[in-house]
Order: sequence, then C-alpha cells, then structure tokens
Amino acid sequence: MVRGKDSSSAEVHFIGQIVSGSGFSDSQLFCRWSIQTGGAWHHVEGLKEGQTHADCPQLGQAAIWCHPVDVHYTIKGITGWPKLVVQVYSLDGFGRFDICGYGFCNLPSSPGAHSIDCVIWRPTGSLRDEFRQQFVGGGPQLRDPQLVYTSLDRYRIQTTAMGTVHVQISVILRNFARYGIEY
Amino acid sequence: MVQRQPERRLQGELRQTRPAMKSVSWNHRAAVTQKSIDESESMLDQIRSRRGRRREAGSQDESLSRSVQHDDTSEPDETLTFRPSDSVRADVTDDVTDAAGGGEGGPSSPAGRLGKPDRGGGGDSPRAPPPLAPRRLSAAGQETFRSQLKKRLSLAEIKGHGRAARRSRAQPRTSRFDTLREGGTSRAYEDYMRATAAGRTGPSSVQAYDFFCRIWEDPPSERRAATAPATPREAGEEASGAAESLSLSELLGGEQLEPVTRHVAPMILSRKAQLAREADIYFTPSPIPIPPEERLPAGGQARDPAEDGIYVPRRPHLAGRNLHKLENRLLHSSDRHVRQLVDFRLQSEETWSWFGEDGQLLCLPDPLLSRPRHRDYRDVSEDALTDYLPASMEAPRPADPEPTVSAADQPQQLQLHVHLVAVRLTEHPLFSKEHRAAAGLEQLHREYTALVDDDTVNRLTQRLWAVRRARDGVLSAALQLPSADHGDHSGDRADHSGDHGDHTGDGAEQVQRRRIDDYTTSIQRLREQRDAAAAQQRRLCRSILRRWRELKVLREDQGFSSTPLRLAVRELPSDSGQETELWQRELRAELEELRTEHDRSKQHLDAEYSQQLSEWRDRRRQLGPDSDQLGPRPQPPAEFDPQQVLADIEARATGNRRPPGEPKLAFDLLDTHPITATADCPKPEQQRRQAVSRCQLSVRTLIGGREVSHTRPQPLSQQLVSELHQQLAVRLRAAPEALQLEVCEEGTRRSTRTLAKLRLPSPASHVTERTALPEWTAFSAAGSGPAARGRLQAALYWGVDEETGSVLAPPADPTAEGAAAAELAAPDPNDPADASMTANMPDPCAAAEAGDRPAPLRPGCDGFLTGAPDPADSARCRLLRLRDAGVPEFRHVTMAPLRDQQVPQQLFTAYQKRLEAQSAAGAGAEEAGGDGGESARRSVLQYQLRIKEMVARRLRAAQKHKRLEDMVREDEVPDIGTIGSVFGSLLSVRRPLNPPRKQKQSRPLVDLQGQELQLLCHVVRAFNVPVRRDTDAVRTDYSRPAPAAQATVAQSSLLPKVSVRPFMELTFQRQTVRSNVAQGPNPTWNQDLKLPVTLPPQGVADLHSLDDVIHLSLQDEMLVDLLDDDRLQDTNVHQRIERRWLAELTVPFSTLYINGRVEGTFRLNTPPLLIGYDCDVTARGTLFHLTESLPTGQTGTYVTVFITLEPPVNVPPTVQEHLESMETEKLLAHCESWTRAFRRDYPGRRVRCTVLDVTGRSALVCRYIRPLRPPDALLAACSNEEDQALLIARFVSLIPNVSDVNFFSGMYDLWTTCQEFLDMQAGDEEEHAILLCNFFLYLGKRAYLVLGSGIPEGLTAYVLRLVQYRLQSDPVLARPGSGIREGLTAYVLTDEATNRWLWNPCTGQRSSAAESYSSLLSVGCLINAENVWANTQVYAQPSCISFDVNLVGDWRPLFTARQPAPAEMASVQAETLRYSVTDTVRVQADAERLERRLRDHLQNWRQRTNWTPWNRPCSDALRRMLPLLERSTFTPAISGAQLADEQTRLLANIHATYKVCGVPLNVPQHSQEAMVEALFALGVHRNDSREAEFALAVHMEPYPSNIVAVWVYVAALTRRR
Repeated sequence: MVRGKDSSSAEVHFIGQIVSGSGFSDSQLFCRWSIQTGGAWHHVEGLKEGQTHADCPQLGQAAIWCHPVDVHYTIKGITGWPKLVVQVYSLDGFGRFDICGYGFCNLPSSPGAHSIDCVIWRPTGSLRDEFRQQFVGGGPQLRDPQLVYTSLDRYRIQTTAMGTVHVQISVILRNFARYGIEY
Repeated sequence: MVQRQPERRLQGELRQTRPAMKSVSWNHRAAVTQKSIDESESMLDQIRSRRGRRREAGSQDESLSRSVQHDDTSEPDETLTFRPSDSVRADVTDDVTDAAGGGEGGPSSPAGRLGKPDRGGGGDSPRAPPPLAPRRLSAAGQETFRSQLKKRLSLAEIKGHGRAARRSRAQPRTSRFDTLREGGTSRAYEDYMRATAAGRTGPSSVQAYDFFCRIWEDPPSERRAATAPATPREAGEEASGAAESLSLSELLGGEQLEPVTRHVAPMILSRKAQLAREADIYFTPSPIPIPPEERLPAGGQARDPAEDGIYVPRRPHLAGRNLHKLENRLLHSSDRHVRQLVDFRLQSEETWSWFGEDGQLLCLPDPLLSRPRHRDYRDVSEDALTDYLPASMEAPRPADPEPTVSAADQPQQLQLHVHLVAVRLTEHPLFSKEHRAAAGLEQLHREYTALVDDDTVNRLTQRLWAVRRARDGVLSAALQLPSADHGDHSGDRADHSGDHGDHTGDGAEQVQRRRIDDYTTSIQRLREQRDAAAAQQRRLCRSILRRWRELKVLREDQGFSSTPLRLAVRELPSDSGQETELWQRELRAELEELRTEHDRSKQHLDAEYSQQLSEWRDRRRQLGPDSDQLGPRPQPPAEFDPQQVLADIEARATGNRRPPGEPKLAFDLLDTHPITATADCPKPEQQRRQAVSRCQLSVRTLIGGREVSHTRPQPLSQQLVSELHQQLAVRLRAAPEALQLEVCEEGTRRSTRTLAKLRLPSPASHVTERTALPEWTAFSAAGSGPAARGRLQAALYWGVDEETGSVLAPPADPTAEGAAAAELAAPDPNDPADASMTANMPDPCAAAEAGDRPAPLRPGCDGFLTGAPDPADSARCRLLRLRDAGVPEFRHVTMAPLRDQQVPQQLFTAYQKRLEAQSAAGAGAEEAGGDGGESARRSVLQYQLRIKEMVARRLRAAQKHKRLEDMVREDEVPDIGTIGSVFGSLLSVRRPLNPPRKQKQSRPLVDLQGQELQLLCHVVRAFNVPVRRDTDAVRTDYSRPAPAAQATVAQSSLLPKVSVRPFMELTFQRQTVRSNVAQGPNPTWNQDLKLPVTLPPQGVADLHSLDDVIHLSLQDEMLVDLLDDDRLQDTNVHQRIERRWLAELTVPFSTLYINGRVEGTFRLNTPPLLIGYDCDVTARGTLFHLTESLPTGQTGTYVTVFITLEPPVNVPPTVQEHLESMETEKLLAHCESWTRAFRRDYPGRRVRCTVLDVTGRSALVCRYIRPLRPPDALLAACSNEEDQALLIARFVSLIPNVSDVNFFSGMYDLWTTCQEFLDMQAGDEEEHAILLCNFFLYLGKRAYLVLGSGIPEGLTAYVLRLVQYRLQSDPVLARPGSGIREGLTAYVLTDEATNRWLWNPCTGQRSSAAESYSSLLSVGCLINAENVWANTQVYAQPSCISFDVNLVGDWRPLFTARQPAPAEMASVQAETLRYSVTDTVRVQADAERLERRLRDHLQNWRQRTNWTPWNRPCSDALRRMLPLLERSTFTPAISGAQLADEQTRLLANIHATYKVCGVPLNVPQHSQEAMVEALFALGVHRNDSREAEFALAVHMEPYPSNIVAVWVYVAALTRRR
C-alpha cells in the first residue's frame, strides 16, 4: 500500500438505485431526484440529478423505477453530507402530470449497502384547492423546492403523507481513515 | 434453568462419591454413576415433592431464578446426608471383576442388575433410568450381550431390546447410537450429564458426533401417546408374534391406521329455544330513560352543583339514546362483569354510585378543545409557500430553480484604460553626482511639503489645547462638587444609576478623577506626538537647506550644472508678539502639567523610597556598615524644581519647534537654473549625456501574467524623465486584482533590460476617465543589476460604453467601497445612514492588533479537513472530472488509476497546450491596438474555436445516438432466396458484358478497431486530356507501351499522332500511388489504386475529424532522351522519365466519409495555363464517341473514377434534432408536412424548409436571403455589371470551404449567417451560395438559391449525393434587355433559356442553365426571400427543366394563397455586413513568407538530388504573370489565348534556353499547410534531372475582409541542347 505522498482527498462514491415508489394513491408515477450537498463537496463524476421514467404498473401498486444513481464526490469536510431530494409526479389518463409529493433522505454515511425508505409528503391547499385537485387535477406545489430539505419555513406548510420511495444505495468511502474518521 | 438444576446438584453429589471410585475405569465409573444417579433421582423426587409443597405454601409467582437460588442454598444439608450405599460398593467391585472377565468387549450389563425388568423393557416411566447399553459393542460383544440377556432376563423383558438389537443389526453403521434410541432424548441428555459429571471437561467424541449428526427421535412414550390407544388384541398379537416372527403391522411400523376425525352433527335448535338460550346470555338494555329517582342513591335528592355556584365542566357530547342504554345497562344488567365491578365498588366504598348528585352519569370533562390549537398558516401567511398549479402536459419544473444568472456570473464586459504618463528616475547608473544631490533635495522637499500641507504640527497643537480645555472644565466641576446640592446631580446620577445601584457622591468623585486621569494621559501623548512631528519638520527644513548648499557647492566645484533645480527660500510674515505669547503659554501649560504629574507620582515614589531605605538599613545591620555588598544608600525622590524643569522644557521646545524670533521659511523648488551646454562640459559629462540620450525607456503592461502591451520606447530626457503619454484600453472578462507594470530600459544594442516591476491596484469601479487622476507610484529595481529607482505616473480608469453610457467596470465590492468611502468622507459612526459603511470600515484597533501578533491558529476550526489539499490539485480527481465533463482529450480514458502517482502527467500536457493556445488566441483578441493583421487572423481562429466548442457542446448529447447496426452485427440467416441466388450465380455468365458493381456490406466503426483502413480508387478513364504542343523538343517513344494501355496503343494507329501519355496519380496523406501509363488524350486505365489511411490518434471513432484531401492528379509521362551522340541512337537507349502535371481532382476526405463512395465522371480542375500543352483540343479523338457524349462546346478534362474506403465504413446518421425554433408551431408543422409530402412524391430530390443556425435554433430558410451590400472595393473595381458579378463570385469563392462535418466534428448541417461566415472565414457551399445570392440581390438581379444534388468538382468538390446548393441568377426574367444579356450570347445553347446561368459559388464559375453536362445533377428546390419552390417536374437535371416558378405544374411553392407566408419575416442576416480592412502590407509579407516556406519544402523533398537550383529570372517572369491570371478568373475578356500570348512574351528569353514545364496553382487562403500539400501533390519536385532548375512564384491578391487569393506558379526548367 502506497501511502506517503498520495495527496488525494477523501472520496465518497454513491452507487445504487431508486428502486420504486409505493403507497401512493396513483400508480403511474415518475420521480425527479437530485442530490444536494454542502460546499465542501466537489462533484467529480456522475449525474447529480435526473428523472426516472414513468412507470405504469400492471401488477401491484408500486411503481418500479430501478433508476441508477452513481455519483462520485471528493470532499473537504463532512458538513453538508448529501441528501437525496425526491419529487414524485403522477401521470394521469390524459397524459398530464401532477405533483404527487416531495421528500428527502440523508444518504447513508457508513460504507456498505443500504436500503432507505424516503417518505413522501405533499402540501395541502385550501379546501377549494383540494376539490380542484380531486376533480380537475393539478395541485399545490412548493414555490421553492429548497423547502424540501431546508428546515426554514417548513413549519408553515401543511402536508399530507403520500407514500414512500425506496432507495438502495451503496456507499464507498476512500481515504477517510487519513482524516481520522473511523467506521 | 429447570433442567440445569439437577445437573448442578448431581455434580455436587458426585464430587462426594468420587473418592470411592478412584481406581475404576470409565465404564465402571459410568455404572457407578448410573447407580448414584438412580439414587440421586430418588432424592430428586423427594426434593421435588418437598419443593412442591413449599411452593404451594409460598407465593405463586415465585420467580424461577429465585427458586434456583433457594434450592442451592437449602440443599447442602440434604445432599450432605448422602453416602454411597453398600450395594453400590458391591456393584462396583462386581463390575470390576466382570470387566476383567469380559474384557473390553463384554462389559457386564448394568441394566440387568440395576434396572427392574419392567422398567428396562417398557420404559414407561420417563424418570426410570435407561438400560445402559454397551457403548462400544462389537459383533462379538453383541452376541455376548445377547446371551447374557437371555440368561438373566425373561422373554418378555428381552422383547423390547430384541427389537432394538434387530434394528441395530439391520443398520450396523448406526448401531452404536441406536441402542440409545430406546432411551430417548432425556436419557441421552442424562448420558451427557453423566459424562460431564464423571469429570470430563467437554463432550465426548461420540457426543460431539451426535450433536451434529444424529437424528433425535421423539421419545417412545410420546409416540405412543400420539397414536390411538393400543387395543388389547394388538398387545396380544405383539406378545404372541414376538417369539417367532414379526407381524406385517410391525413391519409397517407397528401402528394400525385409524381415522383421526369423526363427523359431528350440527346442533340445531328451534328458534324459540335459541331465543331462550340467548336470553340467558344477552342483556339488551332499553333505550328508555331511567327516572332520576333510580339513578340516585336511596332517598337522595337531585341537586345541581351548578346552581350552587360550583363549576361544572362541560360534559362530552353523547347521544341520548346511547346514554340511556348505558345507564340501563349499569343499573339493570345481570352481566357478570358489570355486576362484579359494581359489587366490588359497592363493597369497597359504600357511598359510591355510577351517578352523581345531580343524577347524571359521572364523567370526565370533555377533553376536546372548542377550537383548533394548531395555527392555520394558510390563512394568515401573506406569502404562501405553495402555488396551485393546474395539471399540465409540459415538462415539470426543474427540481431546482435554475441558477439565476446574476450580473456577476455573466461574462463581464470590462474595459480597463491605462494611461501611462511619464517615468521619472530618481536613481540610475547614469546619474551624475549632481543629479543624485538634486534627487535627494527633491525627495526631501517632497516630504517637507507633504508635512506642511498636512499641517500636522498645527493640528496636533490645537488638539492638545482642546484636551487641556476639557480637562480644566472637568477640574473646575470637581472643585464645585462637594458644595453642590444633591439635586443638581440627579441627572448625573441617573446617568450612572444603571451601572451602580448604590450610587453616591463618592462614586461621582471617582468618575471625575478617572476622567481627569484620562485627559492627563492623552495630553501627555499628544504632546509627545506634536513634539515628534515638529522635530521632523524642523529636521527636514534643516536638511533641505544643507542639501541645497551642497548642491550649490557641487555645481561650483565641477564648473557646470546639469540639473535645472533651484531652491527658492521665502520668508513668511509672522507676528512675533503673538508668537511669543503663545510660546510662553505653552511653556507654562507644560510646566503645570509636569508638576501635577510629578505630584501624582510622588506618593508612589515616596512609598517606594521608604521601603528601599528600610531594606537598605536592614542589610546594613546584617552586613555591617562597611560591607561591599551594601550598595549605595537609596536617594529620596527628587523634589520638583520648577526652574530646572522649565529650562528643560524650553531647551526641548527650541530644539523641536521654531522659537518665536526665528523667521518662518517656505521652500519652493524651481526649474530655472541654467544648464551648462554640452559643449562646455568636460569630457566625462559629455559622455554621460550621450549615454543618457541613447537610453530609452518603455513600459510593459501585464494583466494576469500576460503581456497586453509594450509601449514604444521613449527617449530619456537629460533630466532622466521619459515622457510616455500612451494610452491603452484592455478588454477583460474578469477584473484583475492588480496590474503589473514593468519599466524596461532599451539599451543601445537592442537589448531590453527590465529595470523594475511595480503593481498598480485595480481602480475602484466608479473611476472613469473624468475622475481619474494620474498618480505617481514609486518603484525600485529588485534583484541584481545596478540600482535604479524612480517613479511612474499613470492613471487607471474604467471605460464607458458609448451606447449605453454604463461604466464597463466590475460590480463594486461593498467592502472595498465602504472602506474607500470611509477614507474619503470620515463618516459619523453614530449616524444610522452610515451604518453599513462603518460596518465595513476596517477597525483600526483590530488592524493594529493583527499587525502586532499573528492571528491565532485554531486547528480544525473549519471542518475536519483543514489541512487537506484542494481536490483540484489531485491529478486523479482532475482526470476524473475532466473525463466526466467530456473534454476531448480525456473522453477516451477508460481506466483512471487509483492513485495520484500513477496518473501520467503527460496526459495533461496536450490539454494544457490547447488551453494555452486558446487563451493566447483570446489574449490576441482582447488586445486592442496591437498589430492589426495578426490580431485579425487570431481573432478569426478564436471565433472559430468558440463556435466549434459551442456547437460541440450543444450537440454532443445528440451524437450519442447509435443505430442497431453499430452495436449488433448480425449475419443474415440464409433463406430460400439466398440459396436461390447461390445457385443462380452458378448459372450466371462468368464474365458478363455489363458487370454491375456489387454493393459491399458496410461495417460499423466499432468493428474496425485495429484494422487497417484503405483508400481504394478505381480510375476508369479520362477524356479530353491536354496534348503536348511542343512535340519537337521531346521525343516520345512508342516502343515501351505500358501493359495496361495495350488497348489504347492498339488503337493508337487511329489517332493522328500520340501526343500525350497520361497516367493518374493518387496522393493522400503524403503517400502516392500511380497508375500505368495510357496513350493519347482519351486514355483508359481500369486500374485500382490503393493507399492506407493513417487514422487520427483517437482511432476510427474520430474519422470524421480527418481533414486531409485526396488529390487525384492527371499527369503526363515524358521520356526524355539523354543520348548526347546521335550516332548511338540506333544502338543505345538512354532515357529519363519526366512527368508533367496536367490536371487534378481534389476530394476532401470528409466527402468520401459521408457518402461512403465517390463515383462518376468529374471535370478535372485544370490550370488556366499550361506551358507546352494545348488544353483546347479541337481535333478530339475519334475514340470519344465510344465513351460518352461530351457536350459540344464544352472544354475541360474529365475523368471517370470510383473512390471508396476498404473496408466500407458505416456513415453516421445526420443528427436530426428538433431543437427550439424561432418559427411558430403551426408554421413548423406546415413545413414538415410539405416536406414530407414532397419527399414521398419525389424521393431523390432535396428540399429544406428549416435549417439550424449555430445556436441550434431552427429557422426558415427564407430568412437567410436578404440583399446585402458587397464590399465597396469590389463595386468600385468594375463599372461593367457583368464584371462586377463575376468579381463578386470570385470573391465569394475565395472564402475557404470547410465542410460542416470537419468544422463541427459531427454530422450536422448548420447554416451560419453571412456575417458569421465572413468572420469565421470558413463554411461549406450553402454559406457561399447564400452570400453570393445576397450580393446578387443587392445588385438588383433576380437570384434564387438552388438546392439540389450535384457532383464534386474541382477544389471544392465534395458532396456527391448530399445536399448541394447552386445559385442561379436569372437576369432575363428580372430585367429583360439589360446589359448582362449581351455578354452572354457567346454561350447561347440550343435551349431556349439561353441566358440563365448557374453559378458555382465555390469556384466562382458560371455555366448556362441549359448546359447538358452540368455538374448540378438534379434541382430540388429554389429559394428566395419570400418562398420555397420544390421541383415537381419529371426531370431534375437543370438542362431539362423550366425555371419559371410561376408554372404551377412545374414548381410547388411552400407558401400559397391558402397557406400564406408569415406576415413579417425578419431576416437572420444583419442589415449590413461589416468588412474588415485587409492589410495589403501584411499580405505582401505573407506572400513572401509562403514563398520562402514552399521553397524550403521543395528543397527538402528533393534531398535525394542534393541541390535545387533556382532560376530567378524565370521566377520573376512567372510572378509577373500571376496577377494577370488572377484577373483572368473574373474577366471574360481575357481569353486563354491572350494569356498564352502574354506568357510567351514574358518567358521568351527563358524559352530560348530552357524547356519550361510549369503549373499555376490557385487556392483560397485556408492554411499554409494546405498549400504545401497541394504543391506536394503536383510532384514537380520529382524531377531527377541534374540539369533541372526550378522557379517558384507566389502571389497573393488581397480582397476585402482579409480574404486573399493565393497563386503559386511552380515550374521546372530543363536546359535545351
């Protein structure tokens, strides 16, 4: 093992997939995702955000996406550990789509394979909105999607629980031991 | 736990027995153990029964652990009573004897002795000890065992064991364990226990084996219980059959199969009975309310607590009916639970009832709040967080808001102006003594002036007095304090009450004292500062005077003066009386202050003194009065001596300040001193002055490490001042931190020496030309070399946009702004308006602190990786990041090393080089006022790079599309058709008369990795080859005909005389292959020429980036007779083969790549003039009619070739991306349907309605057509309109032609606007055609853009079946009878449309539309600014169609009356084109450089023959010829004959002595490399003759907008004999 002069910094590699979404009232779903990190994280390779296909399950209610996630970061500090931010949209019979919910989960920090359930919620609107949503579609959407993963102003939203997005992520850490991080 | 209990006890008991059986073997010990177990079992029973009793008496739920504990503690007295009985001992001895007799194999059966017979056979009692089976039972042992059993046990006893024994016989392998089986698990467990108890520490090997491998069966008792109870008959049968044989049932397992279920009939009750039964069970409360009396306790009165004023909480709401039911149930139900509850309650508390005093059911108050506690933010919040968005089919909003492009992110347009005014040296080797003195004086004067201007002394003095006054005020207040009324100080007290709760008058006194102390110290400090400043001023004053005196003395001494400096000393008026008063006052004040200071310190000093004195006395007492160590006696503190102190003060003041009587002086430096003329000076001074006059200074400006300007060197004046006065404007993208200036000294020998470097900070963002002031900045030479010091005067400011008036400055930094403003205006820190400013103001205290000691280093305070290197530094991460970004150099890196050290550094060098080149190009573009021509050329390169990168980025994603064939290679499954064709091929003619070309299977690019790619060219024939005119000089030889030319030779007799021996030569990537020689002007070769293709570094995938050109040249082979002696002609042959270049066909490789093949008959590009050849063949060969019909009246040489790649390569598909468009959806849909309909009807014809521009947006083609003014120079050049048109066509054709494929490295068809085309100086033929069309429209012609398919031709040939555009101008339709028609008559053909021309925009040549042999094969559509017409005629050839677009049957328009064109069609073209001015001087220089370069190359190529003589007269003659050739391209008046005549005239002298063979080459200026390649393809250098001489001439004809026509005339000369 060559240590010595290797000046490479700590690296984190997330490999996994957004497996499915279950528990939603609609079953034709697709999901937009992005990974939010702090300033100490430098993106090296892979896509930080994306959109899955719209799955229309014939069997069962869970929409299966199996959307690959493969991101590589080098980091200078562990603050701002990545969060997976997810927006689920549903596709209706007219080919339109409504927001089905938002959610985020912290990506695991210990190496190995992990299975995460990301709980999804949707903001509720006024009674009128709910009626409109029921009959003509659409729905209240967050003006600022950053609200999903920032704690500021969250208290002002009223939400409804929608479902769960299942994520499988494997974490590979490198050079963490050099900075005194044990795992 | 329960199970372990006996074990522990057993261990305890066995420990007791152990001493008795020390000597017995294991087996016997086991027997003993068994015995003791039995006994212990019985004891266990006793204990259990006892415990059971105890347990019954005790608490029911005693925990298990407690019982264990209890047992452990309570049992020793019982176990201790146990002693091994005599019988056990007897058994033991008996066993020992048995063992001796039976040996190892036959141990006595303890079972026989220990177990009772019934227990051993049946095993009914689970607690009965098992018959201990022999552990290691060999076959012999088994027999012994059996005999012993028979002896001892009855038949019935043996029965159970017999079964086991049989079974063990049947399964000999498991017999050892099966014997245990009868005993069941509990016994096995006990075995284990026994083994453990016998002192073994772990399980035996058998047990260990059992543990993993044995299948434990259920105990037999359990099995019995599980089956049906055995019938008596079964038992009897078992008993009877046991003796002889086994019954069937026993074989089957011994169980009778009985049904395990029985049918039970349903219980059916009558309804009545059912109800009756239910009535017993159910209670149905009635919903009728119970009268209040019942609800109250007997005799109670209903009482409402609320009426008594007691608070009654709100009851939860309950429906009356339900309530009544509940009440009824509570009161009347016979339900057990309710009753029980009620009874219990009644028992425990007599007064209790279900009902309260008011007769209501008791209940808790209603827990529900009347209104929700959670705040509904939906109602209150003004700025809702959510928006209701209706469901839509559009793409959802991005997950994150697009990063808002702030002004800071946008590429800033900054313009920094630098005004360099002057450089003034203050120290330099060229300085004379006088200069040095003068510079010193000047320096001193500057300092003095600064000090005086600042008025530091006065300022400090005034501040001092102000503080003094404040102190006096406080002092007087302090004096008044004790006598003052308390009420007067209430306000004062209120001020301090916040701080001190117990504020008293003493506190106020303290405050006063502290204030006075503060004042005193500040006075002291100010006094010192004032004194220091005054002393410096006075010192400077003295130094100036001294220095001036020195200067004067120096001038007198040396006898001349070389500096004009003069000091004028003025005496300023002063009021001496007032001054004296002030002086005295100051002295007094100072004295007073010193006195108070002394008083203050006196107390302290006194105390110190007394202490020291007492110490001293102590010491004296100890050591004695005369001791050496005693030391001097401490002196009492000095008393204040006013006289002495006053004297001190006065002396100091006189030294520092101007005393009252002294005159007040002011100094002025003047430049009026006469300088001695040089002639009058001594020799050294003259030399020095000369050296000064030779010296020149210049200033280099560097921004970000790059030089942006270097001023012209300016001479140094005799005063060592260099006036630069140069301004420079720099366009920047980002604001530089600082500007670096280098002052350079230009020496006499062209050597530049950097004197000093200095940095000027970037100006603040508000500084513009009006507000900027030139400032002096001092510099000094650093490093080695003679010392030089000086000052530079420069002004820096930002430029102002002339159009918008905005300052082209970076956005202001608030911090810097605040600091700057704070410096300027000294803001009030208490003013809220200045709050932001003061916040940004640097804190002087903090700064001072920071200056004193470095900021403390706190490790790890910001994140855990503080010391980590920047990830950008890590080579591996950088590599990964670049690869991810798709940077071309790294796109192919598939494997990135894991460690930094393993990343090869050279990987980055190419990338770095490219970046540097780009930035250099960028710097060139940014630099203003630089060398015009060079920067123009570089800006073109930069622009090209930018466009390329943008397009590549935009379309890289689209490029990733792959076809199935690229990934999957599939061989066809042979079906009946293929079999048929195989058989058919057997029957076909072996050599068909008209063989068709077989189509080869093209292969995907990935499949070609590692294979050699070959260029395959099949040359068939050529016709109309130029013939030699001067045949007498060269004797051709017919005796050596080429083999392939047999046929030709055979027919050569038909020809009048063979005048040419042509062959084809293929040149590609500097490799050459040639065909055989044929004879005559219409040769046939039918030969394959092959050349390997050198692939680009990145392999086949980058094949499209190959920008090499395939040259196919037609040459004439000549045989030159070298025999000197005519007499040898009959006997010897001595000849040399020479070649003459005749014509060529150039095909860019991209053309071949796109089309897969190039096939057809093409016109060769013939030079306008061929020395010694006759191009215009009148006597065409009779062979001609055999081949193809050449149109009459056509000139030129034609060749039939077929070029392809071997193996064939899959052509990547053209990217058809539907990107954003500037057209409406409706229009796009119409275009789409129109195109589709036309393509369906006429598949071969090309139409385009919308095209992509460089930004990737699609636009209607009509938007590209707009009249544009050609360059004025072209319009002015000719008066004749036709000449103008030709000249313009020539101009357009000179713009280098670059395929989109090469340029944008991908299969895109992008149309650039004319301005972009001109700026890039590159484009393919559609850009040429658009530009030409727009120019013609400006000239008032009626011009259309023609889209169609053509064949490649000439230099610009490259698209065979791809879209080819030609321009047609139709002057007749526009203006019948105009001047153009007259000139065209010469070309009138039989077709009626005599005056329609088809212009080739890439060659600038025109041909009649009716010409039958046009290079345009099919016309797809016509386009002008209003409409697009698609060709719906039967034929597509231009000679066969009518060009009248109004004929509805012939042309189908895009926009009709039903589908009108958009109302306003804004053109994408700019209104006017910008043409840059071509620098003719630069073009001239370029031409010279090119000529030099070509000469060098030619010499290099001819290295075999050592030397290459150049014939200069011939070169000059050729050079004179070239402008004429250029003119002839656009002047039809100059005919070929005239040219030839002119040439003959020019070369007349040379012709007399030499045979000249030369070719003029003409190409648009694309790159010099292309020129070199073209020259190589000519093959002129391949002349091996020793006598050969060469001539080379280059001419560049400048056209506007940096477009240049390049002519190269190269000739080989052979001396005539």
